Amino acid sequence: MLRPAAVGFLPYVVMLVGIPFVNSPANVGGVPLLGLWILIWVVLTPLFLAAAHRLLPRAEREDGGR
Amino acid sequence: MNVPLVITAVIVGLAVIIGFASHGRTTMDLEQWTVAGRRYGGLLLWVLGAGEIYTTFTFLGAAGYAYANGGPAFYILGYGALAYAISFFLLPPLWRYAKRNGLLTQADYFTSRFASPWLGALAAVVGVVFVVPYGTLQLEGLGDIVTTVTNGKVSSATAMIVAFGLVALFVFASGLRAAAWTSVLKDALLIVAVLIVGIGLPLKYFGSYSHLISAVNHAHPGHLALPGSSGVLGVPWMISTLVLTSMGFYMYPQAFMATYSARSTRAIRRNATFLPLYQVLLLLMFYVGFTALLIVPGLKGSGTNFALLDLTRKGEPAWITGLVGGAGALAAIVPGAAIVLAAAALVGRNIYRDVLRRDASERSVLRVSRVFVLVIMAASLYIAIRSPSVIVNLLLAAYDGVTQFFPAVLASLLWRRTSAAGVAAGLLVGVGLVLYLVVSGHDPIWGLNAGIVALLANAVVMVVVSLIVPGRPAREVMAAYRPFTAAAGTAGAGEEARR
Repeated sequence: MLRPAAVGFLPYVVMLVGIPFVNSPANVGGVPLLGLWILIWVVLTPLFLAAAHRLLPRAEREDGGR
Repeated sequence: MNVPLVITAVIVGLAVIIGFASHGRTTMDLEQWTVAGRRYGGLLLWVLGAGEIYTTFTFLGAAGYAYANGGPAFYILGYGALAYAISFFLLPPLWRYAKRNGLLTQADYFTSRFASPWLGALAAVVGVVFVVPYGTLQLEGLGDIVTTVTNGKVSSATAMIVAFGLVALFVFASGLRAAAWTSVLKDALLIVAVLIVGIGLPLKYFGSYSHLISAVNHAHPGHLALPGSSGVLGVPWMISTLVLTSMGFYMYPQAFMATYSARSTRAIRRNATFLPLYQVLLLLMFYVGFTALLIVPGLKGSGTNFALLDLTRKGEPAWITGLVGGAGALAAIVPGAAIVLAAAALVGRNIYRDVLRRDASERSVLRVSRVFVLVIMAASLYIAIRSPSVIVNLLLAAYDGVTQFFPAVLASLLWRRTSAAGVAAGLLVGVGLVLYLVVSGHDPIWGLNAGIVALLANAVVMVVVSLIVPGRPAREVMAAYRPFTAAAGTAGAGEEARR
Protein backbone atom coordinates (compact mmCIF):
# COMPACT_ATOMS: atom_id res chain seq x y z
CA MET A 1 0.00 0.00 0.00
CA LEU A 2 2.97 2.33 0.37
CA ARG A 3 3.77 2.54 -3.34
CA PRO A 4 0.25 3.49 -4.46
CA ALA A 5 0.04 6.00 -1.63
CA ALA A 6 3.39 7.53 -2.63
CA VAL A 7 2.18 7.94 -6.20
CA GLY A 8 -1.31 9.12 -5.27
CA PHE A 9 -0.06 11.77 -2.86
CA LEU A 10 2.70 13.12 -5.08
CA PRO A 11 0.58 16.00 -6.50
CA TYR A 12 -0.58 16.79 -2.94
CA VAL A 13 2.96 17.15 -1.66
CA VAL A 14 4.37 18.94 -4.70
CA MET A 15 1.54 21.47 -4.77
CA LEU A 16 2.15 22.43 -1.14
CA VAL A 17 5.95 22.40 -1.24
CA GLY A 18 5.99 24.59 -4.35
CA ILE A 19 3.78 27.37 -2.97
CA PRO A 20 6.62 29.50 -1.46
CA PHE A 21 8.40 29.46 -4.83
CA VAL A 22 5.43 30.51 -6.95
CA ASN A 23 3.99 33.18 -4.69
CA SER A 24 3.79 35.86 -7.35
CA PRO A 25 1.00 37.73 -9.12
CA ALA A 26 2.88 37.52 -12.43
CA ASN A 27 0.51 37.25 -15.36
CA VAL A 28 1.17 33.96 -17.15
CA GLY A 29 -1.13 33.93 -20.15
CA GLY A 30 -4.07 35.32 -18.20
CA VAL A 31 -3.54 33.31 -14.98
CA PRO A 32 -1.62 34.61 -11.95
CA LEU A 33 1.42 32.38 -11.32
CA LEU A 34 0.19 31.22 -7.90
CA GLY A 35 -3.19 30.20 -9.33
CA LEU A 36 -1.56 28.53 -12.31
CA TRP A 37 0.62 26.39 -10.04
CA ILE A 38 -2.38 25.15 -8.08
CA LEU A 39 -4.39 24.62 -11.25
CA ILE A 40 -1.63 22.47 -12.78
CA TRP A 41 -1.55 20.10 -9.81
CA VAL A 42 -5.33 19.92 -9.61
CA VAL A 43 -5.47 18.86 -13.25
CA LEU A 44 -2.63 16.35 -12.79
CA THR A 45 -4.17 14.74 -9.68
CA PRO A 46 -6.46 12.41 -11.69
CA LEU A 47 -3.47 11.06 -13.63
CA PHE A 48 -1.59 10.22 -10.46
CA LEU A 49 -4.65 8.67 -8.80
CA ALA A 50 -5.28 6.54 -11.88
CA ALA A 51 -1.66 5.39 -11.69
CA ALA A 52 -2.06 4.67 -7.97
CA HIS A 53 -5.08 2.55 -8.80
CA ARG A 54 -2.98 0.37 -11.08
CA LEU A 55 -0.48 -0.16 -8.27
CA LEU A 56 -3.08 -1.29 -5.72
CA PRO A 57 -2.93 -4.93 -4.65
CA ARG A 58 -5.01 -6.98 -7.04
CA ALA A 59 -7.61 -8.01 -4.47
CA GLU A 60 -8.12 -4.39 -3.49
CA ARG A 61 -8.36 -3.19 -7.08
CA GLU A 62 -10.83 -5.80 -8.19
CA ASP A 63 -12.91 -5.69 -5.07
CA GLY A 64 -16.30 -4.56 -6.24
CA GLY A 65 -17.32 -4.62 -2.62
CA ARG A 66 -20.50 -6.53 -3.07
CA MET B 1 -43.24 41.17 -14.90
CA ASN B 2 -40.17 40.48 -12.83
CA VAL B 3 -38.23 38.09 -15.06
CA PRO B 4 -35.49 37.09 -12.58
CA LEU B 5 -38.12 36.34 -9.92
CA VAL B 6 -40.13 34.11 -12.25
CA ILE B 7 -37.08 32.17 -13.44
CA THR B 8 -35.75 31.72 -9.91
CA ALA B 9 -39.17 30.52 -8.71
CA VAL B 10 -39.49 28.06 -11.60
CA ILE B 11 -36.04 26.59 -10.87
CA VAL B 12 -36.75 26.20 -7.16
CA GLY B 13 -40.16 24.71 -7.96
CA LEU B 14 -38.55 22.19 -10.29
CA ALA B 15 -36.10 21.16 -7.55
CA VAL B 16 -38.95 20.65 -5.11
CA ILE B 17 -40.81 18.44 -7.59
CA ILE B 18 -37.66 16.39 -8.20
CA GLY B 19 -37.13 16.13 -4.45
CA PHE B 20 -40.57 14.61 -3.91
CA ALA B 21 -40.45 12.46 -7.06
CA SER B 22 -37.10 10.95 -6.03
CA HIS B 23 -38.99 8.88 -3.48
CA GLY B 24 -40.14 6.66 -6.34
CA ARG B 25 -41.77 3.41 -5.39
CA THR B 26 -39.25 2.57 -2.71
CA THR B 27 -40.56 1.41 0.62
CA MET B 28 -38.87 3.93 2.84
CA ASP B 29 -37.03 2.16 5.66
CA LEU B 30 -34.20 3.67 7.65
CA GLU B 31 -31.48 2.39 5.32
CA GLN B 32 -33.25 3.71 2.22
CA TRP B 33 -33.90 7.04 3.85
CA THR B 34 -30.36 7.67 5.11
CA VAL B 35 -28.07 5.96 2.56
CA ALA B 36 -30.45 5.15 -0.32
CA GLY B 37 -29.91 1.42 0.08
CA ARG B 38 -26.17 1.71 -0.78
CA ARG B 39 -26.88 1.47 -4.49
CA TYR B 40 -25.27 4.60 -5.91
CA GLY B 41 -22.55 4.57 -8.55
CA GLY B 42 -22.05 6.88 -11.49
CA LEU B 43 -23.93 10.16 -11.64
CA LEU B 44 -25.63 10.22 -8.23
CA LEU B 45 -22.50 9.24 -6.31
CA TRP B 46 -20.59 11.81 -8.35
CA VAL B 47 -22.86 14.72 -7.45
CA LEU B 48 -22.99 13.62 -3.81
CA GLY B 49 -19.20 13.31 -3.72
CA ALA B 50 -18.85 16.73 -5.29
CA GLY B 51 -21.18 17.89 -2.49
CA GLU B 52 -19.69 21.03 -1.19
CA ILE B 53 -17.77 22.10 -4.27
CA TYR B 54 -20.71 23.98 -5.70
CA THR B 55 -22.50 25.44 -2.68
CA THR B 56 -23.26 29.08 -1.90
CA PHE B 57 -20.02 29.13 0.04
CA THR B 58 -17.96 28.30 -3.01
CA PHE B 59 -20.21 29.76 -5.71
CA LEU B 60 -20.75 33.21 -4.21
CA GLY B 61 -18.02 32.83 -1.61
CA ALA B 62 -15.21 32.11 -4.11
CA ALA B 63 -15.93 35.28 -6.06
CA GLY B 64 -16.31 37.26 -2.84
CA TYR B 65 -13.13 35.84 -1.32
CA ALA B 66 -11.18 36.62 -4.50
CA TYR B 67 -12.62 40.12 -4.41
CA ALA B 68 -11.76 40.74 -0.77
CA ASN B 69 -8.49 38.85 -0.33
CA GLY B 70 -7.06 38.04 -3.76
CA GLY B 71 -4.34 35.36 -3.83
CA PRO B 72 -5.46 33.47 -0.67
CA ALA B 73 -8.65 32.56 -2.59
CA PHE B 74 -6.68 30.08 -4.65
CA TYR B 75 -6.89 27.63 -1.75
CA ILE B 76 -10.53 27.14 -2.80
CA LEU B 77 -9.29 25.89 -6.16
CA GLY B 78 -6.80 23.48 -4.61
CA TYR B 79 -8.28 21.85 -1.53
CA GLY B 80 -10.84 19.68 -3.28
CA ALA B 81 -8.20 17.85 -5.33
CA LEU B 82 -6.15 17.24 -2.18
CA ALA B 83 -9.26 15.99 -0.40
CA TYR B 84 -10.03 13.56 -3.21
CA ALA B 85 -6.49 12.16 -3.02
CA ILE B 86 -7.09 11.46 0.68
CA SER B 87 -10.53 10.02 -0.01
CA PHE B 88 -9.10 7.63 -2.61
CA PHE B 89 -7.27 5.82 0.20
CA LEU B 90 -9.41 6.60 3.23
CA LEU B 91 -12.98 6.00 2.08
CA PRO B 92 -12.87 2.44 0.70
CA PRO B 93 -11.97 0.81 4.04
CA LEU B 94 -14.56 2.96 5.81
CA TRP B 95 -17.21 2.07 3.27
CA ARG B 96 -16.43 -1.63 3.60
CA TYR B 97 -16.65 -1.47 7.36
CA ALA B 98 -19.90 0.50 7.15
CA LYS B 99 -21.47 -2.01 4.82
CA ARG B 100 -20.49 -5.02 6.96
CA ASN B 101 -21.85 -3.44 10.07
CA GLY B 102 -24.89 -1.69 8.65
CA LEU B 103 -23.71 1.79 9.57
CA LEU B 104 -25.90 4.72 8.55
CA THR B 105 -24.41 7.83 10.14
CA GLN B 106 -20.96 9.19 10.82
CA ALA B 107 -21.36 8.75 14.56
CA ASP B 108 -22.36 5.10 13.95
CA TYR B 109 -18.76 4.54 12.93
CA PHE B 110 -17.51 5.70 16.30
CA THR B 111 -20.15 3.72 18.18
CA SER B 112 -19.30 0.55 16.29
CA ARG B 113 -15.54 0.73 15.81
CA PHE B 114 -14.85 1.68 19.42
CA ALA B 115 -17.76 -0.29 20.88
CA SER B 116 -18.89 2.84 22.69
CA PRO B 117 -22.35 4.35 22.27
CA TRP B 118 -21.24 7.28 24.41
CA LEU B 119 -18.46 8.10 21.98
CA GLY B 120 -21.03 7.88 19.18
CA ALA B 121 -23.29 10.28 21.04
CA LEU B 122 -20.38 12.69 21.57
CA ALA B 123 -19.56 12.52 17.87
CA ALA B 124 -23.23 13.19 17.07
CA VAL B 125 -23.35 16.23 19.34
CA VAL B 126 -20.14 17.66 17.85
CA GLY B 127 -21.47 16.97 14.36
CA VAL B 128 -24.82 18.64 14.98
CA VAL B 129 -23.27 21.64 16.74
CA PHE B 130 -21.09 22.45 13.75
CA VAL B 131 -23.32 21.36 10.91
CA VAL B 132 -26.48 23.21 11.88
CA PRO B 133 -24.83 26.65 11.65
CA TYR B 134 -23.49 25.59 8.26
CA GLY B 135 -27.05 24.80 7.18
CA THR B 136 -28.18 28.12 8.58
CA LEU B 137 -25.56 29.88 6.49
CA GLN B 138 -26.97 28.24 3.38
CA LEU B 139 -30.39 29.51 4.36
CA GLU B 140 -29.16 33.06 4.80
CA GLY B 141 -27.36 32.79 1.48
CA LEU B 142 -30.62 31.79 -0.17
CA GLY B 143 -32.47 34.72 1.40
CA ASP B 144 -29.80 37.15 0.21
CA ILE B 145 -29.76 35.74 -3.30
CA VAL B 146 -33.50 35.88 -3.78
CA THR B 147 -33.76 39.39 -2.37
CA THR B 148 -30.94 40.62 -4.60
CA VAL B 149 -32.12 39.11 -7.87
CA THR B 150 -35.71 40.24 -7.30
CA ASN B 151 -34.61 43.75 -6.42
CA GLY B 152 -36.06 43.46 -2.93
CA LYS B 153 -39.54 42.42 -4.13
CA VAL B 154 -39.34 39.23 -2.11
CA SER B 155 -38.07 39.65 1.42
CA SER B 156 -35.25 37.48 2.61
CA ALA B 157 -37.37 35.97 5.40
CA THR B 158 -40.19 35.02 3.01
CA ALA B 159 -37.75 33.34 0.63
CA MET B 160 -36.15 31.37 3.47
CA ILE B 161 -39.43 30.22 4.95
CA VAL B 162 -40.94 29.12 1.63
CA ALA B 163 -37.84 27.41 0.23
CA PHE B 164 -36.75 25.66 3.37
CA GLY B 165 -40.25 24.69 4.40
CA LEU B 166 -40.42 22.79 1.13
CA VAL B 167 -36.94 21.32 1.66
CA ALA B 168 -37.94 20.03 5.09
CA LEU B 169 -40.92 18.28 3.54
CA PHE B 170 -39.08 16.57 0.71
CA VAL B 171 -36.25 15.44 2.97
CA PHE B 172 -38.89 14.13 5.36
CA ALA B 173 -40.41 12.14 2.51
CA SER B 174 -37.43 11.03 0.40
CA GLY B 175 -34.29 11.32 2.55
CA LEU B 176 -30.95 11.03 0.76
CA ARG B 177 -32.61 10.39 -2.60
CA ALA B 178 -33.99 13.92 -2.53
CA ALA B 179 -30.53 15.37 -1.87
CA ALA B 180 -28.94 13.26 -4.61
CA TRP B 181 -31.47 13.89 -7.37
CA THR B 182 -31.80 17.61 -6.69
CA SER B 183 -27.97 17.76 -6.74
CA VAL B 184 -28.06 16.72 -10.38
CA LEU B 185 -30.22 19.71 -11.28
CA LYS B 186 -28.18 22.01 -9.04
CA ASP B 187 -24.83 21.03 -10.54
CA ALA B 188 -26.09 21.23 -14.11
CA LEU B 189 -27.49 24.73 -13.58
CA LEU B 190 -24.48 25.93 -11.64
CA ILE B 191 -22.09 24.79 -14.35
CA VAL B 192 -24.12 26.67 -16.95
CA ALA B 193 -24.28 29.74 -14.72
CA VAL B 194 -20.55 29.60 -13.94
CA LEU B 195 -19.70 29.34 -17.63
CA ILE B 196 -21.99 32.19 -18.64
CA VAL B 197 -20.89 34.70 -16.02
CA GLY B 198 -17.30 33.42 -15.73
CA ILE B 199 -16.62 33.83 -19.42
CA GLY B 200 -19.12 36.56 -20.25
CA LEU B 201 -18.43 39.18 -17.59
CA PRO B 202 -14.60 39.36 -17.61
CA LEU B 203 -14.52 39.38 -21.42
CA LYS B 204 -17.25 41.99 -21.65
CA TYR B 205 -15.33 44.45 -19.50
CA PHE B 206 -11.70 43.56 -20.28
CA GLY B 207 -11.66 41.73 -23.60
CA SER B 208 -9.42 38.91 -22.33
CA TYR B 209 -8.36 37.27 -19.08
CA SER B 210 -4.85 38.51 -19.65
CA HIS B 211 -6.02 42.12 -19.81
CA LEU B 212 -8.05 41.57 -16.66
CA ILE B 213 -5.09 40.18 -14.71
CA SER B 214 -2.84 43.00 -15.93
CA ALA B 215 -5.45 45.55 -14.90
CA VAL B 216 -5.76 44.02 -11.42
CA ASN B 217 -1.96 43.95 -11.05
CA HIS B 218 -1.83 47.58 -12.09
CA ALA B 219 -4.63 48.79 -9.81
CA HIS B 220 -3.91 46.53 -6.83
CA PRO B 221 -0.27 45.40 -6.89
CA GLY B 222 0.23 42.20 -4.92
CA HIS B 223 -3.51 41.40 -4.70
CA LEU B 224 -3.09 38.21 -6.74
CA ALA B 225 -0.35 36.64 -4.58
CA LEU B 226 -0.11 35.89 -0.86
CA PRO B 227 -1.10 37.50 1.44
CA GLY B 228 -2.98 39.55 -1.15
CA SER B 229 -5.21 42.24 0.30
CA SER B 230 -5.80 40.22 3.47
CA GLY B 231 -2.54 41.29 5.08
CA VAL B 232 -2.35 38.19 7.29
CA LEU B 233 -3.02 35.18 5.05
CA GLY B 234 0.53 34.33 3.97
CA VAL B 235 2.32 31.25 2.72
CA PRO B 236 2.21 29.28 6.03
CA TRP B 237 -1.51 30.05 6.30
CA MET B 238 -2.07 28.87 2.72
CA ILE B 239 -0.27 25.57 3.22
CA SER B 240 -1.86 24.84 6.61
CA THR B 241 -5.31 25.75 5.29
CA LEU B 242 -4.94 23.44 2.29
CA VAL B 243 -3.90 20.60 4.59
CA LEU B 244 -6.70 21.28 7.07
CA THR B 245 -9.49 21.66 4.55
CA SER B 246 -8.39 18.61 2.58
CA MET B 247 -8.65 16.55 5.78
CA GLY B 248 -11.96 18.08 6.78
CA PHE B 249 -13.73 17.72 3.42
CA TYR B 250 -15.17 14.28 4.15
CA MET B 251 -15.47 14.80 7.90
CA TYR B 252 -18.68 16.76 7.56
CA PRO B 253 -21.38 14.36 8.78
CA GLN B 254 -23.38 14.70 5.55
CA ALA B 255 -20.33 14.01 3.36
CA PHE B 256 -19.22 11.02 5.46
CA MET B 257 -22.73 9.61 5.35
CA ALA B 258 -23.14 10.14 1.59
CA THR B 259 -20.11 7.89 1.11
CA TYR B 260 -22.06 4.97 2.55
CA SER B 261 -24.51 5.26 -0.33
CA ALA B 262 -21.84 4.04 -2.78
CA ARG B 263 -22.41 0.79 -4.62
CA SER B 264 -18.79 -0.38 -4.38
CA THR B 265 -15.27 0.65 -3.44
CA ARG B 266 -14.50 0.81 -7.14
CA ALA B 267 -17.20 3.44 -7.65
CA ILE B 268 -15.70 5.47 -4.79
CA ARG B 269 -12.18 5.31 -6.24
CA ARG B 270 -13.31 6.13 -9.75
CA ASN B 271 -15.07 9.23 -8.45
CA ALA B 272 -12.10 10.26 -6.34
CA THR B 273 -9.90 10.00 -9.41
CA PHE B 274 -11.93 12.26 -11.66
CA LEU B 275 -13.67 14.67 -9.27
CA PRO B 276 -10.64 17.02 -9.12
CA LEU B 277 -11.37 18.00 -12.73
CA TYR B 278 -14.85 19.05 -11.69
CA GLN B 279 -13.57 21.95 -9.65
CA VAL B 280 -11.41 23.53 -12.33
CA LEU B 281 -14.40 25.70 -13.25
CA LEU B 282 -14.09 27.47 -9.91
CA LEU B 283 -11.20 29.35 -11.48
CA LEU B 284 -13.81 31.26 -13.47
CA MET B 285 -15.40 32.43 -10.22
CA PHE B 286 -12.14 34.09 -9.24
CA TYR B 287 -12.15 36.00 -12.52
CA VAL B 288 -15.65 37.21 -11.72
CA GLY B 289 -14.40 38.34 -8.32
CA PHE B 290 -11.43 40.17 -9.87
CA THR B 291 -13.69 41.80 -12.47
CA ALA B 292 -16.05 42.94 -9.73
CA LEU B 293 -13.12 44.38 -7.79
CA LEU B 294 -12.49 46.82 -10.65
CA ILE B 295 -16.06 47.36 -11.86
CA VAL B 296 -18.07 47.49 -8.60
CA PRO B 297 -15.38 48.58 -6.12
CA GLY B 298 -15.97 49.35 -2.47
CA LEU B 299 -17.83 46.24 -1.27
CA LYS B 300 -16.84 45.49 2.30
CA GLY B 301 -17.15 42.60 4.77
CA SER B 302 -19.96 40.19 3.94
CA GLY B 303 -20.98 42.56 1.14
CA THR B 304 -18.20 41.00 -0.96
CA ASN B 305 -20.38 37.90 -1.23
CA PHE B 306 -22.59 39.98 -3.48
CA ALA B 307 -19.74 40.70 -5.88
CA LEU B 308 -21.01 38.10 -8.33
CA LEU B 309 -24.69 39.01 -8.07
CA ASP B 310 -24.11 42.75 -8.27
CA LEU B 311 -21.92 42.36 -11.30
CA THR B 312 -24.39 39.99 -12.97
CA ARG B 313 -27.27 42.40 -12.47
CA LYS B 314 -25.17 45.23 -13.81
CA GLY B 315 -23.72 43.47 -16.83
CA GLU B 316 -26.11 40.73 -17.95
CA PRO B 317 -29.73 40.58 -19.25
CA ALA B 318 -32.55 39.84 -16.81
CA TRP B 319 -32.98 36.19 -17.78
CA ILE B 320 -29.34 35.46 -16.95
CA THR B 321 -29.77 37.17 -13.60
CA GLY B 322 -32.75 34.87 -13.04
CA LEU B 323 -30.73 31.81 -14.02
CA VAL B 324 -27.87 32.79 -11.71
CA GLY B 325 -30.38 33.49 -8.95
CA GLY B 326 -32.07 30.12 -9.41
CA ALA B 327 -28.76 28.27 -9.58
CA GLY B 328 -27.55 30.14 -6.52
CA ALA B 329 -30.77 29.30 -4.67
CA LEU B 330 -30.24 25.60 -5.41
CA ALA B 331 -26.63 25.93 -4.28
CA ALA B 332 -28.15 26.76 -0.90
CA ILE B 333 -31.16 24.44 -0.87
CA VAL B 334 -29.48 21.18 -1.85
CA PRO B 335 -26.62 21.25 0.66
CA GLY B 336 -29.22 22.42 3.18
CA ALA B 337 -31.20 19.25 2.48
CA ALA B 338 -28.15 16.99 2.94
CA ILE B 339 -27.21 18.78 6.14
CA VAL B 340 -30.61 18.57 7.78
CA LEU B 341 -30.84 14.88 6.84
CA ALA B 342 -27.45 14.11 8.39
CA ALA B 343 -28.17 16.10 11.53
CA ALA B 344 -31.58 14.48 12.01
CA ALA B 345 -30.16 10.98 11.49
CA LEU B 346 -27.41 11.72 14.04
CA VAL B 347 -30.04 12.67 16.59
CA GLY B 348 -32.24 9.65 15.82
CA ARG B 349 -29.51 7.00 15.70
CA ASN B 350 -26.82 8.21 18.00
CA ILE B 351 -28.59 10.20 20.68
CA TYR B 352 -32.07 8.66 20.76
CA ARG B 353 -31.17 5.02 20.04
CA ASP B 354 -27.58 4.75 21.31
CA VAL B 355 -28.13 6.53 24.59
CA LEU B 356 -31.79 7.14 25.42
CA ARG B 357 -33.64 4.07 24.13
CA ARG B 358 -31.25 1.19 23.46
CA ASP B 359 -34.13 -1.10 22.45
CA ALA B 360 -35.62 1.33 19.92
CA SER B 361 -36.74 -0.34 16.68
CA GLU B 362 -35.60 0.83 13.26
CA ARG B 363 -39.06 2.18 12.60
CA SER B 364 -39.09 4.30 15.71
CA VAL B 365 -35.58 5.59 14.91
CA LEU B 366 -36.84 6.59 11.45
CA ARG B 367 -39.85 8.29 13.00
CA VAL B 368 -37.73 10.25 15.49
CA SER B 369 -35.24 11.23 12.77
CA ARG B 370 -38.02 12.50 10.54
CA VAL B 371 -39.49 14.57 13.33
CA PHE B 372 -36.03 16.05 13.87
CA VAL B 373 -35.84 17.06 10.21
CA LEU B 374 -38.72 19.41 10.95
CA VAL B 375 -37.34 20.48 14.33
CA ILE B 376 -33.85 21.24 13.01
CA MET B 377 -35.22 23.10 10.02
CA ALA B 378 -37.49 25.20 12.24
CA ALA B 379 -34.57 25.96 14.55
CA SER B 380 -32.34 26.90 11.59
CA LEU B 381 -35.02 29.21 10.22
CA TYR B 382 -35.42 30.89 13.57
CA ILE B 383 -31.66 31.33 13.88
CA ALA B 384 -31.28 32.57 10.30
CA ILE B 385 -33.98 35.21 10.77
CA ARG B 386 -32.75 36.35 14.17
CA SER B 387 -29.07 35.64 13.38
CA PRO B 388 -27.50 35.94 16.81
CA SER B 389 -23.75 36.41 16.91
CA VAL B 390 -23.03 33.10 18.66
CA ILE B 391 -24.01 31.37 15.45
CA VAL B 392 -21.65 33.47 13.42
CA ASN B 393 -18.86 32.30 15.68
CA LEU B 394 -19.88 28.66 15.40
CA LEU B 395 -19.90 28.99 11.66
CA LEU B 396 -16.45 30.48 11.51
CA ALA B 397 -15.33 27.46 13.49
CA ALA B 398 -17.37 24.86 11.56
CA TYR B 399 -14.76 23.65 9.11
CA ASP B 400 -12.00 23.62 11.72
CA GLY B 401 -14.44 21.92 14.08
CA VAL B 402 -15.53 18.97 11.95
CA THR B 403 -11.94 18.39 10.87
CA GLN B 404 -11.26 17.36 14.47
CA PHE B 405 -12.80 13.98 13.55
CA PHE B 406 -9.95 13.31 11.17
CA PRO B 407 -7.23 12.11 13.57
CA ALA B 408 -9.63 9.59 15.11
CA VAL B 409 -10.83 8.27 11.76
CA LEU B 410 -7.29 7.90 10.43
CA ALA B 411 -5.98 6.30 13.63
CA SER B 412 -8.93 3.93 13.77
CA LEU B 413 -7.73 2.44 10.48
CA LEU B 414 -4.02 2.35 11.21
CA TRP B 415 -3.64 1.74 14.92
CA ARG B 416 -5.54 -0.97 16.76
CA ARG B 417 -4.79 0.48 20.14
CA THR B 418 -6.74 3.69 19.49
CA SER B 419 -9.32 3.79 22.27
CA ALA B 420 -12.68 5.42 22.85
CA ALA B 421 -11.17 7.35 25.76
CA GLY B 422 -8.34 8.60 23.56
CA VAL B 423 -10.69 9.66 20.77
CA ALA B 424 -13.09 11.39 23.16
CA ALA B 425 -10.27 13.27 24.91
CA GLY B 426 -8.66 14.31 21.63
CA LEU B 427 -11.97 15.42 20.17
CA LEU B 428 -12.86 17.51 23.22
CA VAL B 429 -9.44 19.17 23.29
CA GLY B 430 -9.49 19.82 19.53
CA VAL B 431 -13.01 21.23 19.45
CA GLY B 432 -12.44 23.28 22.61
CA LEU B 433 -9.26 24.77 21.19
CA VAL B 434 -10.92 25.57 17.86
CA LEU B 435 -13.77 27.39 19.56
CA TYR B 436 -11.43 29.29 21.85
CA LEU B 437 -9.01 30.35 19.09
CA VAL B 438 -11.66 31.33 16.57
CA VAL B 439 -13.99 33.11 18.99
CA SER B 440 -11.12 35.02 20.64
CA GLY B 441 -9.90 36.16 17.23
CA HIS B 442 -6.69 34.11 17.17
CA ASP B 443 -7.18 32.74 13.67
CA PRO B 444 -4.69 32.68 12.01
CA ILE B 445 -2.34 32.00 14.91
CA TRP B 446 1.45 32.21 14.41
CA GLY B 447 0.66 32.61 10.72
CA LEU B 448 -1.04 29.20 10.65
CA ASN B 449 -4.68 28.21 10.29
CA ALA B 450 -5.96 27.84 13.88
CA GLY B 451 -7.65 24.55 12.98
CA ILE B 452 -4.27 22.93 12.30
CA VAL B 453 -2.97 23.90 15.72
CA ALA B 454 -6.06 22.38 17.33
CA LEU B 455 -5.70 19.29 15.13
CA LEU B 456 -2.15 18.67 16.32
CA ALA B 457 -3.18 19.06 19.97
CA ASN B 458 -6.09 16.69 19.34
CA ALA B 459 -3.83 14.05 17.77
CA VAL B 460 -1.25 14.23 20.56
CA VAL B 461 -3.91 13.91 23.27
CA MET B 462 -5.57 11.03 21.43
CA VAL B 463 -2.30 9.09 21.16
CA VAL B 464 -1.20 9.73 24.75
CA VAL B 465 -4.59 8.79 26.24
CA SER B 466 -4.78 5.71 24.00
CA LEU B 467 -1.36 4.64 25.30
CA ILE B 468 -2.56 5.02 28.90
CA VAL B 469 -6.02 3.52 28.30
CA PRO B 470 -5.55 1.27 25.26
CA GLY B 471 -8.49 0.26 23.12
CA ARG B 472 -9.45 -3.40 23.00
CA PRO B 473 -11.80 -3.65 20.06
CA ALA B 474 -14.13 -6.60 20.35
CA ARG B 475 -12.95 -9.67 18.46
CA GLU B 476 -15.91 -9.54 16.09
CA VAL B 477 -15.16 -5.89 15.32
CA MET B 478 -11.60 -6.65 14.34
CA ALA B 479 -12.43 -9.87 12.49
CA ALA B 480 -14.69 -8.04 10.08
CA TYR B 481 -12.15 -5.31 9.83
CA ARG B 482 -9.86 -4.93 6.94
CA PRO B 483 -8.01 -1.65 6.97
CA PHE B 484 -6.16 -0.54 3.92
CA THR B 485 -5.62 -3.64 1.92
CA ALA B 486 -7.99 -6.29 0.79
CA ALA B 487 -5.23 -8.89 0.80
CA ALA B 488 -4.01 -8.29 4.35
CA GLY B 489 -6.97 -9.42 6.46
CA THR B 490 -7.27 -12.98 5.24
CA ALA B 491 -10.41 -13.81 7.21
CA GLY B 492 -12.09 -10.71 5.84
CA ALA B 493 -10.92 -11.38 2.30
CA GLY B 494 -12.28 -14.91 2.33
CA GLU B 495 -15.60 -13.71 3.50
CA GLU B 496 -15.65 -11.09 0.79
CA ALA B 497 -14.93 -13.67 -1.90
CA ARG B 498 -17.87 -15.81 -0.84
CA ARG B 499 -20.34 -12.98 -1.28
